[in-house]
Amino acid sequence: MAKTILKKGKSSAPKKVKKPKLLKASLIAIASEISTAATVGIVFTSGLGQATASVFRKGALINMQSISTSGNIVFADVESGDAIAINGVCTGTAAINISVPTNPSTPTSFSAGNFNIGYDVL
Amino acid sequence: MNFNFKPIAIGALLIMYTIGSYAQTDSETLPLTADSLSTGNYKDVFKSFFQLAFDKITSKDKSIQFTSNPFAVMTKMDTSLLIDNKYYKYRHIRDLNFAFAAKLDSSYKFNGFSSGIKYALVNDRDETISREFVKSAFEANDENNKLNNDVNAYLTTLDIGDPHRQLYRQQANDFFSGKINFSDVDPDFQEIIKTKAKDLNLVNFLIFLEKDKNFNVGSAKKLAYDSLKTLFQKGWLWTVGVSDTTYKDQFAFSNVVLSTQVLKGISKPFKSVGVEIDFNGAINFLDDTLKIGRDLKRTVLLIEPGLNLSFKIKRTQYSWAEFKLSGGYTNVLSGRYLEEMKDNITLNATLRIRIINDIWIPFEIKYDPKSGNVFGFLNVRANFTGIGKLLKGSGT
Repeated sequence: MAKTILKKGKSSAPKKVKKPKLLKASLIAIASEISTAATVGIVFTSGLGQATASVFRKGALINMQSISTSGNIVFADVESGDAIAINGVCTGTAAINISVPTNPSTPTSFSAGNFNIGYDVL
Repeated sequence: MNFNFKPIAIGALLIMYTIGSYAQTDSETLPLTADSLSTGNYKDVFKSFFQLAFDKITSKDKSIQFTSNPFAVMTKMDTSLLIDNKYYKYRHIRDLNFAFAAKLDSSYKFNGFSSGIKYALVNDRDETISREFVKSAFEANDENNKLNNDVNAYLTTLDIGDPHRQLYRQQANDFFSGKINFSDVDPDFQEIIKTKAKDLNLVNFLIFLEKDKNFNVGSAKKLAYDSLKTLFQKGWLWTVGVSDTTYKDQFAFSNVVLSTQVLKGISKPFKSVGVEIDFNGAINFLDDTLKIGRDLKRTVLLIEPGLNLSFKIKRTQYSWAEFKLSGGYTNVLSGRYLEEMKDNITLNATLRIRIINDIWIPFEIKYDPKSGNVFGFLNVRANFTGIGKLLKGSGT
């Protein structure tokens, strides 16, 4: 697991931020009792699009998948506290739906152009 | 036609980042849809949705014309056709236009019916089905993609219940969507974003932040995307079509026209005046009114090469007026009237003024150098999407 740059529950913002270290162990997502599968559904309408969704945990990237047509991205292991970042572009509209509770909640929609968004897994 | 978008995308991004005026106030004046960046001349040649046209309003031969394409009608019945895989599958249907028009006389009485179809043999202007365009637009946003990932990575180092995480999550998404400026972000979080940008060596992002503390990333992204779209609008468009007109008292053709039209943008990117070549050719089969009976034995050839100038707001590439200048050559191939000249040359000009995004008013002027006659026609072109926006009160 990657080292955290802040202690959990710290009440004030950090004064100095260090770049999170990506450890070998971070690249292996290990299902735990609290982990679950999450499906990220992305639908492009009125034009083509593409998107990349990434799952981060404690400062490290643990999974990343891309799609270039409407469809589902399945992350086998997500847990509360993870973040799902989605970067993409659509020439018409795009709608994102995530199967697990998130902040902000989904579905989320975008009009033509580039989009960058992140969701906290609750 | 193959577009090399990589250098264009990078160029577009650099120019957007160095213009230096993407404040939040700008985003309020830039609700441009990608489609609104098309020229009015292009929309008159080829329609992607619906268009209602009132032609020659001040003439004794007026017409009301409705133009659409089969795909637009199909999607009204089955919206699932808009999903990308089907949208792409039916792209060739979207290249077909059909039109119906009612001809009216000076008293607004029915004076005949006309219809026509037009097919785009080459349409390199539809970015919605271009993988190259999608790839280029994604790459042009590379810095924001990287920064969003790193900001998300950072947020997972905070406890999910930490109020800072909830605040930063909201602000991160608002910042990347353009809802808030950089200066509206929490000062501590501003520092974190700056540090991430430095770590990632996001040169353009940092240059921009240095220039303007009110940097709005949403506006910058939209400008870069719309600039790419404008560049795409310079592509080739070649259409062929056939149209006809019936008599008012009989369902028989009084006129059949075979036509072709070519458009190609030739101006350099990011200029305040865009230039496109507009070549129009047609063969008109008409009824010889001097002969008894109704036939189509009079044949007239029309060739009209021209240039369309679009006057744009340089920063946004949004055209507000267009001026088309063309020469018209007419040759009566058969069925020439007595004392009628075999050929004729006219100078034609069309001034288009944009009222709102999708409503244009073209004013056509034709000048015959031999006779010295000048003819003027006032038209109105309204795309249905424009009317829809107007009714919703957002017709900007």
